[in-house]
Amino acid sequence: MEPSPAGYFDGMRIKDRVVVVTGASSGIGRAAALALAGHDCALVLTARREGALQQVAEECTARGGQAIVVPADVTDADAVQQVARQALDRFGRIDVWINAAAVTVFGPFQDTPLQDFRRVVDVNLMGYVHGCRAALAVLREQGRGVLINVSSIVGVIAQPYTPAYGTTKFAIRALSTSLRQELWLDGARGVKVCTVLPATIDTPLFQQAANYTGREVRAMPPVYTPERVAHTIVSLVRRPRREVVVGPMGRSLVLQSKFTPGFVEKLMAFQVHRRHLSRKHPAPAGSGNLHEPAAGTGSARGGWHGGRRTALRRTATAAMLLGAAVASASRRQR
Amino acid sequence: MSGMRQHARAARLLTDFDSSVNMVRALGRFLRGRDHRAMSAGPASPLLAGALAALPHTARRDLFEAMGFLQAVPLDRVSRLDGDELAHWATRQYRGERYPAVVLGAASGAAVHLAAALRAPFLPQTLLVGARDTATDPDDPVGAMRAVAPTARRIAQRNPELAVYHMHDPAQDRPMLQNLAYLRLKRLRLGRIHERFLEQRLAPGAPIILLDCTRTWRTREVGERAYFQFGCLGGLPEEEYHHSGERVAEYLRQQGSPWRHWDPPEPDARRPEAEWGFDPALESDVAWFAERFGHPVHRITVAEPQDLSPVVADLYRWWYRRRGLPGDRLLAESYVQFDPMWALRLGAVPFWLRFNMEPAYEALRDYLHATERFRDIHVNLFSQGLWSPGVVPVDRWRALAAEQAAGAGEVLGVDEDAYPLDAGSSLRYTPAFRSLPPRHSLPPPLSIEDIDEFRAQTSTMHAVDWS
Repeated sequence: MEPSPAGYFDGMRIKDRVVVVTGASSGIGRAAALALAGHDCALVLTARREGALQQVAEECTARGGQAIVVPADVTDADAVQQVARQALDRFGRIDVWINAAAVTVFGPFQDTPLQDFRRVVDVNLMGYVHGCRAALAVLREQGRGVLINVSSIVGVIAQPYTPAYGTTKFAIRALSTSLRQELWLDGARGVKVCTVLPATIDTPLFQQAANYTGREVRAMPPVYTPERVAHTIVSLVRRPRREVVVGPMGRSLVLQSKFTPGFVEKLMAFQVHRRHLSRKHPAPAGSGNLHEPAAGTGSARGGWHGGRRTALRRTATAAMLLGAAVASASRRQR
Repeated sequence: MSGMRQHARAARLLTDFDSSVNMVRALGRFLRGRDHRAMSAGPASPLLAGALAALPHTARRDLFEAMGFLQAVPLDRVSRLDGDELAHWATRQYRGERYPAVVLGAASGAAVHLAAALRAPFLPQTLLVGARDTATDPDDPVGAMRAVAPTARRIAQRNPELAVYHMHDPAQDRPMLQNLAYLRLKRLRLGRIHERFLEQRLAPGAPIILLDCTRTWRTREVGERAYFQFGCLGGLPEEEYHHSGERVAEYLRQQGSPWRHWDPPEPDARRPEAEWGFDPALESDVAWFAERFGHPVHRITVAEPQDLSPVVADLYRWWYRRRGLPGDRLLAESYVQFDPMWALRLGAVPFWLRFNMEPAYEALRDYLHATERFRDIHVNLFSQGLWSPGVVPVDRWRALAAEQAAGAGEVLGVDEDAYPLDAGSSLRYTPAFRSLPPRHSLPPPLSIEDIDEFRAQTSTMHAVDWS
């Protein structure tokens, strides 16, 4: 990585970069790790589940990257510092730090146990704070690097029944902005802070969520693949940007919310009430993976058919565009 | 919100095959001079009933399951349920100016005829709301309880006047349980809607007849005023639901279930039975209202819902004879297939059967043995969509009617080949009653004094406490 003249940093080649990924055992974190491994990066993988991380490490190695596993709970600041130290011990530097660890709880505000609310804030916000502190200490020292925080479009348009998650996702954007401002004021032009705002992504988050709604949590359509977010993260390493929304529906909603915020707020409430929570599958109350990690070796995808749905949407869009083009051409001929 | 829209919304929440819903609908229509055809949910049609009953077995079973799906309320709607909407729906069924009495409390098909004789409305303590549930395994009661408990708790939390009973019976409700969770809502307070109705529509000094059924069941608390009940009054004894044996194993095998026994959650108390039991918490409000507005309270206490049937049958016979009618035709109606209008038009003595199971059969048999012989006996049977344990075959019902009738005994309005998966059953019973001779005009109502007179003559004959 070469800083541009006058200390400005415009991005980096990805090959051989040292990347720390939190929440690497599943979902977006896992997909990002695998995507970066495909670019021969050296990965430091962290999450609570060592077994799942080991499997991700093997997959990363198979893709041509290197990977070490450092199990940690991001709510433990010392443990996160230890992740940074191990990365430096092993690879001598940190080029990119990705905060992707996330948990959530669904439930009406009054019915959500306070300890679960607090746990979501601890993981999703304080976990990022710990990650940012550990990362920025190194990146500032190096004078360069990229810090990527995964937020959500619910960090722009909140949704009902996930006040804890929404609060943290708004806070992550604020955290990122604040850090960018401090870096700018300090003249640390080589260190970039980016925020990713995915729309609904096909990850196990929904099955593993704590749930007090009495209704099964579904991925609210349209659902996009975690690989799509990973692709965006890779692009941010190459060319850092302040905030990037992943998924056309997310971009459309974010844009619409600037012009008709009240309408979008109600639309989101209605959609979550009708489509995010099942209308026919009741669900027992439970704290999901909040306090104990989910069993198994994890996965990037959650079985919501994000890939298939994306393909269908694309085919339908292409067919509509083609139809419109044919209709337009035949009209001109007449 | 307009009254019509509110009414439609409440009607959508309720379940067409619920005992209390049918009591209210039947009496509401009766008091407007109408019958209870097709459970007051649509037109009756023997032709359509025949076509439905002629469908193949699997199609009829699917039809019962589909009806369950259609009757169920989506979870997003049911969790926002407002008990006042239901109370409002019930009171709107009665459009008369002033009523000479009101029957209030536990459900009972026999009470429909008692109320009809008095020209009184019935206000139910319990109503059924079906929550859509296509995920729960009918034979996994613990899973069902856990899955539905948050919804039951939320309804109870939003409605401090109600207790919520999640009733789960994989024996007789099996087809419905494929798509629906039974939430029985018991009113613990009279509430402003019922109070206003009684204040405005009950004639001065008119009696309030409180129907108390003391039947309890093993239940488990899942939240404040929210309970889970496994099994219900039907063909199986309560004990067999909790310690199921060979009969249940055989039933589960026949139903293609992977289970061979039920393992329900450990009960923590006996509470009023979800569908038929009366929760005495309502009493204090009734007593307060009655005292404040000067209405006498008459309490009828029965140990089992079926216990009221012989009393009402004898009351009708006594009443017919006082009017100079023979009163020698018995019409045995099952579950919600009752029709107060046609019982009176035919001059028939109504005997309500709680269901089509062994206990109901025994109740009818015992009554017929104990009472003066009827010339004609007609038995109509409800179909619940499967041969659940304890269902009595048509042959036995017919034999009982034939043996006990001095003249003719028959099963009527039932497709015997299709029973108990007779998908057209509810479309057929009123036309079947209507096909019987003779015809009488509706008599003037009985008064509470008439009933006192009847009671004075028969007080030792019945297992019912009047006070």
